[in-house]
Amino acid sequence: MASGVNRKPVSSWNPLRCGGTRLPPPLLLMAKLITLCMLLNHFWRGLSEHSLPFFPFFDRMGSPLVFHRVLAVIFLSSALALLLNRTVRASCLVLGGTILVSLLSSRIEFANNRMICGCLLLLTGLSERGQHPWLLRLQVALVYLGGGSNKLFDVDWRSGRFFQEWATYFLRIGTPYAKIASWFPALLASKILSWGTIVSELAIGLGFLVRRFYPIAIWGGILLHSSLLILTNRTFGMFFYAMLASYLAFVDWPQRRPTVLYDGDCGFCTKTRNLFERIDLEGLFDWVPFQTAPDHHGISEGALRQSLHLETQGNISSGFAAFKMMLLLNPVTYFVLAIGLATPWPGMVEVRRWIVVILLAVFSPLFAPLGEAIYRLVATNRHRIPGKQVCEISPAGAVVRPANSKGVETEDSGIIR
Amino acid sequence: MHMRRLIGMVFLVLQLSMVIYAHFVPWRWFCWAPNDYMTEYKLDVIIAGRTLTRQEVLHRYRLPGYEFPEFAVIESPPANLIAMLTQYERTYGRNDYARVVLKYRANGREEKQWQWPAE
Repeated sequence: MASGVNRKPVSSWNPLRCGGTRLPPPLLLMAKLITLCMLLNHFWRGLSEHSLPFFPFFDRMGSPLVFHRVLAVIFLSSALALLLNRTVRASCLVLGGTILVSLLSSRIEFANNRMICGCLLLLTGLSERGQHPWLLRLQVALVYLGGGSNKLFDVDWRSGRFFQEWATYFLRIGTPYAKIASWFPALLASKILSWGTIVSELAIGLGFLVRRFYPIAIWGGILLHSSLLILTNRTFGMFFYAMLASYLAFVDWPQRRPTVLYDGDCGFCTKTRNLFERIDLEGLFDWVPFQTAPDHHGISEGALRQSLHLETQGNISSGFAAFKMMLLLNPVTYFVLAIGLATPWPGMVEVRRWIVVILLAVFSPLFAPLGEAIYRLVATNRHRIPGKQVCEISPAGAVVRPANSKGVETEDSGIIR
Repeated sequence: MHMRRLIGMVFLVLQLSMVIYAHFVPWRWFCWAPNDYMTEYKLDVIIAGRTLTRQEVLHRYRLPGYEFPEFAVIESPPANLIAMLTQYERTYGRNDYARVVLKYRANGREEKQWQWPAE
């Protein structure tokens, strides 16, 4: 596992930053996202009051209310420490441990969506910077394989009966599933959905066991959970958030700063750089005007003039793909999404579904041609976009240099020549 | 460092054991069977000759799930529900000498009945 950017690690108090701690940035980001979603959903209120425990000794642990309050205080303190980048591994261990203790102390409070949060946080706390998080990866695979095999061996899942019954109680008339199901003969829609879930879970679980299948498994998981959310309007407690966040354990984070090559002769490009640098709290990206870049990474000057390029660990992406990659490598993107999706705003159920649909569309490979076309349109006409700085690129892409070509001084980037 | 790995491995092996074990028993705890079952049920509880109201039953067991006008629904197999009722009557409620009748339907199948104490 990549261990982050090659810069002196300094842990920040800024909760939006994930670098400079004893955890790899993607794992810390995962843990923070899960914690943030739990906090937004008042998770601590559901911590147990030790009732009908799995182990009898919990019944001898004093007042159930005091027990609950102690768990809640520990949970909130460690969540705060984690978000502020203090003793992050210990915080993860305590958070995960608190959730698991809560589950063990009450059969009533047992829920798989809580358990996955506890397991992921506990195993994050056991992770080391600079090492592959294989414990976490096995955990994620185990969840899918356990769920898939349980469904596969259940006759009511195979026949579609479970889903049909479940939909009767939990899906309001008017949900996408209810509408679609009404077009099919009895049990057919539920059977399709049941088998779709079984096959998907088993395939995703197996995919997460083989490194070269990680991207497919990640996309499969995103599609599975998003489809369930879109069709049923349910996040299944924390399950939707925790499982999607867990995919960060399968991501190769850049070991050195990715380089962004942009056109320094273009005011709009400089503005774009300024905007991205403002939200790049880790200083992850190294923006270099291609005119002054020591290395063009084999990209022609014509291509560099036409679109922005991103070099990450030797991989080059350009245009729309480069923008997507910059967003995906920036922790701020995930925090914004988590707040947007997990905050229980009024009317959020409908809104959340549409946010997920839009995100799926924008980030899916199917949207890439359209995204690239929009990028080209903007890039070609960037000289027309009003702004303080003058773009020196003509519509045809030829550089129009001012008569005095000594350069123009800007407040952001110094002298552009 | 090695201790961390060892703890993590033991933790995962325990989960794997529970996943395998779940295929041989009717209940589902700690085995990654999320929301895989749906049990519709109705509880009648008699203590000292008096039938408890629905509110009293709710307060007594504090069972998870959803309340509908005529019955309740839990997203777990019936065995989980029965395990919780049995544990309650054996521990917290043992001095009440309650008579409990649970009528339930799993995934919409035929109605079944369980009672405490077993006759």
